[in-house]
Amino acid sequence: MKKVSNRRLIAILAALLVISLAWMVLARVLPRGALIAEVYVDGRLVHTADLNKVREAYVLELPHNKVLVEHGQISMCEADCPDHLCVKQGKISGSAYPIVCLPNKVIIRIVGKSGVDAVSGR
Amino acid sequence: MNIRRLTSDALLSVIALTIFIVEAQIPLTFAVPGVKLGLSNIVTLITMYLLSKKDAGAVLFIRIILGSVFSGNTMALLYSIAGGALSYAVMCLASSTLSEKQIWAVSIFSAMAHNMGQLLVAALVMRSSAVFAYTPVLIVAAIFVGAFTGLCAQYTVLRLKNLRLK
Repeated sequence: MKKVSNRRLIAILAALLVISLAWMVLARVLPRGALIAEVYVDGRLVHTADLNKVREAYVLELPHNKVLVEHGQISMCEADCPDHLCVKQGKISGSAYPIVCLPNKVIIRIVGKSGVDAVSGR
Repeated sequence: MNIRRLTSDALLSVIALTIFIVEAQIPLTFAVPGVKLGLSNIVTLITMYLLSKKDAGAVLFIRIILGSVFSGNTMALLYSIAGGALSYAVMCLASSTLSEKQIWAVSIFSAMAHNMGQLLVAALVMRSSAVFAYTPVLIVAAIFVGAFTGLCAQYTVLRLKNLRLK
């Protein structure tokens, strides 16, 4: 049985800790991948935008809806449907739940990088 | 398998299961989802050092399967088994080179293996490698959580050594 000294163990673990922390910091600092939002009307793709590249927010005018495109998030800001469920859903920034306006057949969804919260359930 | 060992295994499984279920009831959420103390791992470690690797494996898998049945969270079974299998393998390897005064380190390595096993399953289930962005967070968590549970196991083992469990 080969003995491993405590000092060596601590050195290995400290190295791992430092590497992980550096990795976490780098992941924060480095630019993120694309966050692509797609807007569909009646099944047709009418607009795509990389939300991470949106510098100034703009409003996308659709026949019955208005979509607010911002940096990192997207939302339905106006709709002429009776219930306004799509507007009430607010801003989305991940792929977990797309915004759907059923009466006007508009779907806004985010593709690409998904967050961990999509499956963790907490 | 003699009766003493069977009884010891059963007793340790029950202790692990109880700890597991009590822990699941405490809403102890750290800053990141999916990170928990894993207190029932203390029992697995104790079993490995006081009885044998085989007994530890039995106690671990009995706890995982019954734990998922009793907590009603069968979706998590896949994750638990992957994490459990990987952490068990690493625990076996580490415990043959590390003494019983280094259980804290065995625990850290097995906690890391556990987290990596769960990440692998998550990547397979989601068919996305994006979850690996989570790796450093889980390594850091494993170091602290593993050291805590490992020290608990270590102090218990050093005191229970003279018990005749086998």
